[in-house]
Amino acid sequence: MNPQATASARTLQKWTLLGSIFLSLPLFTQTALAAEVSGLLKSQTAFSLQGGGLQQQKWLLDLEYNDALGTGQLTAIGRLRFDTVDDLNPSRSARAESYSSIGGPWLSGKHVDAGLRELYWQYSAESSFWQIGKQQVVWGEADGLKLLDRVNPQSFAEFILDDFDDSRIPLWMINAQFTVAENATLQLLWIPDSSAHELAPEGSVFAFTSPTLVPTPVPGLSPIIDMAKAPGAIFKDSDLGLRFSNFVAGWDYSLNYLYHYVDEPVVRAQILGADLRVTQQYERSHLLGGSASTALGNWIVRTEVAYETDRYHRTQTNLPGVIEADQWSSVIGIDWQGWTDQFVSLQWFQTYIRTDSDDLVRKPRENTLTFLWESSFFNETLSAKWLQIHSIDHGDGIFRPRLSYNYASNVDIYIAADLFYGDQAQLFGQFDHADRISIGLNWGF
Amino acid sequence: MNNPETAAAATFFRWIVEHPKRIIALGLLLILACGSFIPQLSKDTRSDAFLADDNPALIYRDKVKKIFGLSDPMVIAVVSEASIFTPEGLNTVAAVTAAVRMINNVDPDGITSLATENNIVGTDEGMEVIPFFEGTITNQQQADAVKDAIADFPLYQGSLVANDQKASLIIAELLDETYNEQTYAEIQSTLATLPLPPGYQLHIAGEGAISGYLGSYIDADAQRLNPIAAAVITMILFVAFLRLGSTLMANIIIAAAAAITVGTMAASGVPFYVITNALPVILIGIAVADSIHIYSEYFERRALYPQESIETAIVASMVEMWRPITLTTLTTAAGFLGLYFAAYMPPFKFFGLFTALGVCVAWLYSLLMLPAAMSLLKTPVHPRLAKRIRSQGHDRFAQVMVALGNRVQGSAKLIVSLFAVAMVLSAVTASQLRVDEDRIATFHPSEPLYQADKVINAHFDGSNYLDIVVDANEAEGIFEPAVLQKMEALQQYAQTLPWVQGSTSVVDYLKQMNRALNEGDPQQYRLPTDKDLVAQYFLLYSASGEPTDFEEEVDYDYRLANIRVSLNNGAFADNKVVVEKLERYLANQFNDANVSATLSGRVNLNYHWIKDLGRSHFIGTGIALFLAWLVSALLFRSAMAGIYALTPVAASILLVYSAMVALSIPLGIGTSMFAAVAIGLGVDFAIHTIDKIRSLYPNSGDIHTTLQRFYPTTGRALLFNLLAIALGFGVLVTSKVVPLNNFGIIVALSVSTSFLVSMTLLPAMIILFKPRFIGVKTALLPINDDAEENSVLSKAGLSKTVVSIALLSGIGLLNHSGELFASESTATKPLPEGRWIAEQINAVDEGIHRVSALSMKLVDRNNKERLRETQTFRSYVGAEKRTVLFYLTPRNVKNTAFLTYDYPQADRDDDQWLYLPALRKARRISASDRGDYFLGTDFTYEDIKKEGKFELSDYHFKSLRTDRVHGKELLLLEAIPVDNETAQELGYGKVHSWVDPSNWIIIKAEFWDINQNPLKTLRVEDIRQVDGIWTRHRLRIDNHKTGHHTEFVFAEVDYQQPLTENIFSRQSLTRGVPR
Repeated sequence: MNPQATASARTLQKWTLLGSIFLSLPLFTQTALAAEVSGLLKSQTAFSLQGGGLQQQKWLLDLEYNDALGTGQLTAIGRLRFDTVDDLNPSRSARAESYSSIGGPWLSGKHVDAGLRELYWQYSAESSFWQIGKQQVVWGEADGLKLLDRVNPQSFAEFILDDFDDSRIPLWMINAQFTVAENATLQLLWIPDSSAHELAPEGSVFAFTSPTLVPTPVPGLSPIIDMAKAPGAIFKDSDLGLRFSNFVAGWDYSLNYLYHYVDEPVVRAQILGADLRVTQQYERSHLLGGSASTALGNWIVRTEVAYETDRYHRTQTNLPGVIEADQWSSVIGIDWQGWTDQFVSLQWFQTYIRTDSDDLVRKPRENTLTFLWESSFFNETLSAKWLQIHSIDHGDGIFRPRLSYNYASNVDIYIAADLFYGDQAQLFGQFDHADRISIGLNWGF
Repeated sequence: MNNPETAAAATFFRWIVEHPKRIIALGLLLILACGSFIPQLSKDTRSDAFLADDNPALIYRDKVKKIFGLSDPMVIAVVSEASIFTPEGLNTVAAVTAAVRMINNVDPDGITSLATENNIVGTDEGMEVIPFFEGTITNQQQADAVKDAIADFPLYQGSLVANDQKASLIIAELLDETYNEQTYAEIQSTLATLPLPPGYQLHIAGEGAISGYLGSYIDADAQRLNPIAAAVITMILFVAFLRLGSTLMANIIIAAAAAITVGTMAASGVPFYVITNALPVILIGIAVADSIHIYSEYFERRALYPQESIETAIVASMVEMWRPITLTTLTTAAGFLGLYFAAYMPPFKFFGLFTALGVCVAWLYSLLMLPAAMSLLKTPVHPRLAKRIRSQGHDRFAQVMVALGNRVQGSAKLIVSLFAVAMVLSAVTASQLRVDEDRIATFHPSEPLYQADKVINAHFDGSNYLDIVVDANEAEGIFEPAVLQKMEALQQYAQTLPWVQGSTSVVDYLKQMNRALNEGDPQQYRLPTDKDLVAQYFLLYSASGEPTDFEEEVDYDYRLANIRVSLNNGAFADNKVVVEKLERYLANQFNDANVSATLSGRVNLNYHWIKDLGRSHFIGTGIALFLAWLVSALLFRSAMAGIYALTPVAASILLVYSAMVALSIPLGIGTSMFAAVAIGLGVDFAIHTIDKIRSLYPNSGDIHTTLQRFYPTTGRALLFNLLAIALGFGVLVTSKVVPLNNFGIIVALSVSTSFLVSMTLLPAMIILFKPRFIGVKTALLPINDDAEENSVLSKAGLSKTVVSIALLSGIGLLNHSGELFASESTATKPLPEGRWIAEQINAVDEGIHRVSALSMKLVDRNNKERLRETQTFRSYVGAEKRTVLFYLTPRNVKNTAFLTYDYPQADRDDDQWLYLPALRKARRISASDRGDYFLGTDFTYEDIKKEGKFELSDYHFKSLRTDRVHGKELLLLEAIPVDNETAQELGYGKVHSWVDPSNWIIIKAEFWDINQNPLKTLRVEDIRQVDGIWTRHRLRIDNHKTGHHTEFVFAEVDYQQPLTENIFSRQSLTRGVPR
């Protein structure tokens, strides 16, 4: 089947599904709570500090519909994205491939996207809670970098600059939570939607170029690249998640397990005749981990640890360019709330690849620090924030100062900057050219 | 806003209280670990230990000892009432000599007595060397022969036989001085069993005996003192608190300080010196102070706020006390470290270092193990103590201090002038201070050794030896008549010096030989003039004498000779004259190219040991003063304040010096330690005085008002602190070790002076000179009068406890019953008690569950409004209150949710989570900042949580009056935070609430900030019953500082809807508002 025909078929499926849901809504709205519609309009204009011109002029409209449905509650959030400049997305050719047949947007163009962001039905019983549909599930305690927060894939169109709530890609899933003891909950996830990360298209501002993430071209060979394709089988390729969370003696902790396709494809290269063939394939992994947090007076201690099997890491040797090895990650964070209207947080992330190979592009053990300071003034109408992420091993990182003002109950305006630094071959340093200042507006209605 | 330091301290101590077992286990483990080294501790009570191993005088003395086979001998005197030259007398000398020779460690060839020494007599063939007597003397004739022989042998007159012939000595050299103590004990026991003829006595003395006995003497003293000190402290603690728990814990801390310190000494190979004996007693005195302060604060809290949980009381007490305790530890440790840095004698250095360590260990255990143990022991305050604490007021001691204060304020100029004059006079007197040390004076005059020493020095040439080693530069150089004549002249010169009673050298033997060879002609008692003749004399002597006879006088190749000078006085000040004169003589008149001489021996060693004592003491005092100044200056952030703080100790040290001059107490080994201790302890008075005056002064801006408050509170506490220290060091007064005894007296004197100067001169100087630092507020400052009252008692650090000691000792006891409340009720008789009102407010029914819609309107000073619609759920799970609040609108904050678990234990922080939809995560947030504003409103987290009620343990309540408002009689209730820390936590210095007694709902409240500025006004309207429960529907709170106000309107309040626990889980926050 040609790609165009596939896309049309998908679009048709989705409209049909959504249409039938919306048409059926009145049938279920005979409850005490009236249907409720609300919206949020976000606008952000970013100026490139290197080029001097506009990097982005984005409008995002989220419309949320809440209503009772049967014995539960229905939530639907639709999203319309409009970008008048969009240097971040010169082409969307790779985009659709990362979505599953049920997960992608309805419309995807150079300037406009439209789709069903979230659609789920919630039902609470005495000792269980069900949330079925397209949704976001967030695990873990870490901020800024993700260890356990792997249930939903993410859009890297703006690297990690976009709010995670906006960049996280909701998935169709069944999310069941069972109260197994006082304060103890067991969560089961069945995720047939195998959509994966959306990477910034090649040539765009935030396209990955670091050799730790993407293969380096072999001189004299023109590669033939096979695009990655999200696994498609609903049952066979679905992800499963399990989380036990509890609150004991002042500690929140969770134990997590996720059997899933890693959301970034493994890129392998091989020489076939005179050609260099590059294949991209999603691979499965077991993620085991846990998290914990507690408050000690003014201090909050947070920690998270994750063990991932079967991860693929780029090697210096060109062919096939990856090796398989398990990976440990951990984070320890402390937050300080000792002063009124102040919040200071420090996190230490560590990853360790379990391999004896000295062929890795990255170091087997890497450390990253994050520092966050937030302060609010005038009854929380004005707030200032400073976030810094810094790689100890490579010396690269990012500063993210931000000042926002609650202009009215439902209107926030802000000015922010995203300033990268460091070696261009590294994760943050690769965007040293992408520094920007943004102004924005969030309007709720 | 909270004081971050206080909050951090609270967090820290709360953690300790919550994990007592592991802290105690660790603490005990450390005691055991360090204590396990104690058996390895070596003891070194030798005098030599006071000099560093590489000291040149010590090295030379050892060399001399080796060459001449000399040691610090045991000297045994056989004393008769009549002449010793009787058969009984001489046989007794022989019997003692024989008995001593059999004793372990006594050199059998190193015994000098009438029974071992030889007479030199002339014969036809030349010279014969024969014993004075052998075997048993059976008749007086034989005894007289010996007497005549001695009369012809001047060398032994005064050295071996008393000048009055009533006593004779047996001098026993020892093989290994390490075992002096055992050898001395063995000689004592052996001689005790020896039958003596009537009228005869034996005395054991000598340097060997002194160093041998000193160890056991001081050990015995310590074994006596330590239990007394511990008993006194235990008694004080028990009397103070009437509880075994506190007594036990204070003793454990003392044990920890002593065990860890001594264990660390052992582990680091530092021996236990003579003066180390003072360490445990000093540690007992200092270590217990920390526990006293903490328990005092704790029991006071328990007495005043019985509703407060024990854990909260412990944490609050520790938060209040850690700072003053740390401060006094720092100053005390600084004093001892001054000793460490300045001392040149290893025992002093280590004494300074390890006492500082012990003080720090006591501090550490008081801050860590004590609260942990308190939380386990849960020692209740004794009802009698509680009653007395509640009835605080001006007792007799406070009155004394007030009277003193009035006198000081009235005569500031006079006081400063008098002190100035006194200081000048003291400085003049102090310049006469003598440095002196006499080791025999270490012993109490009743000690046999002391008496033996006196006897020997009275009968003989003396028991103190100075050796002069003559080096003739070549083998047989000593045979040179010129050298011998020089030696003779030197001996004659030495004998002209004070306290020198005699001297012995090869010169005396040669003279005796010359006389013997010239038919005993007394005129021939002179040196031969020919070198060959001298050599022949030695040859002749060796024909009949023992080869070792001259071992102590000359070396084997006759290059070196020793002159042993005897002095009958071992005091440094007297020996100093002799040593210095001899040194000058040697340099100017003796030493030349052919011959030189060097001083050695015990007297010389003592001279070198003590001569730098004065300098070292003054340097040490200087360093300790500097460290105390530094700590004070840093604390008050003012160099001038540091100088003021130092004034009392400097004055006290000067006064002590002049008192020592007046009482003829010299600066010696024991007394020289006083300054370090006096500074460390004495400066605390000044620090507390300045700190308190600084904290009080800004409230009134008037120094006299300030001092009127200072004297009855802090002044009184300091008075009791002084008494506590005096009791601690008073134990030393019972010591039989005289220097320790002097040390105790001097420390007590200097600490008392420091106290007196801190109470008089210091305030007088402040009145007169008005130093700038007095007007500067620091973080230590209290926030209001009431909080200040607490701070006085606690921060001043000084024992409230000790206050309690007095209360309980029956001295100046006050009224019996709860006057605290009586004074309130007499003032507002018809009114119910404040606390009772608060209890009624808290008793208002809230229902088990509550659901409501809450509209929030936030309005700034420009009337710009922000609106929020929320849904709230609240439920009690047992006594635990769980509340969750979901934001519904505006869309920007929709689904933001706040969950809190409010525990019934007042000292347990709430658990709180905030769900931020942008993160899609419920994150844990700190609940310790109760006074922070809740999500941009003008209500604090505490206001929201308490829903118009009070945490009873946070406030002192007082009913002020009734006011008629809108036709209703309302009770006006005043709530004042119990202490500074609580005020800072809450953000309120005072709260006035108007309470409707018909339903016990607060309908209006005024809030003041911690500096007593008006902060907020709350108005409550639309109060009506829902489901039979009085419910506030409209609240408006105005912040007077920011002009911002917040209105809460509650609607759809429902107490009937059952709520499952699921709603109040962290997970539920992520699910949005329950429908």
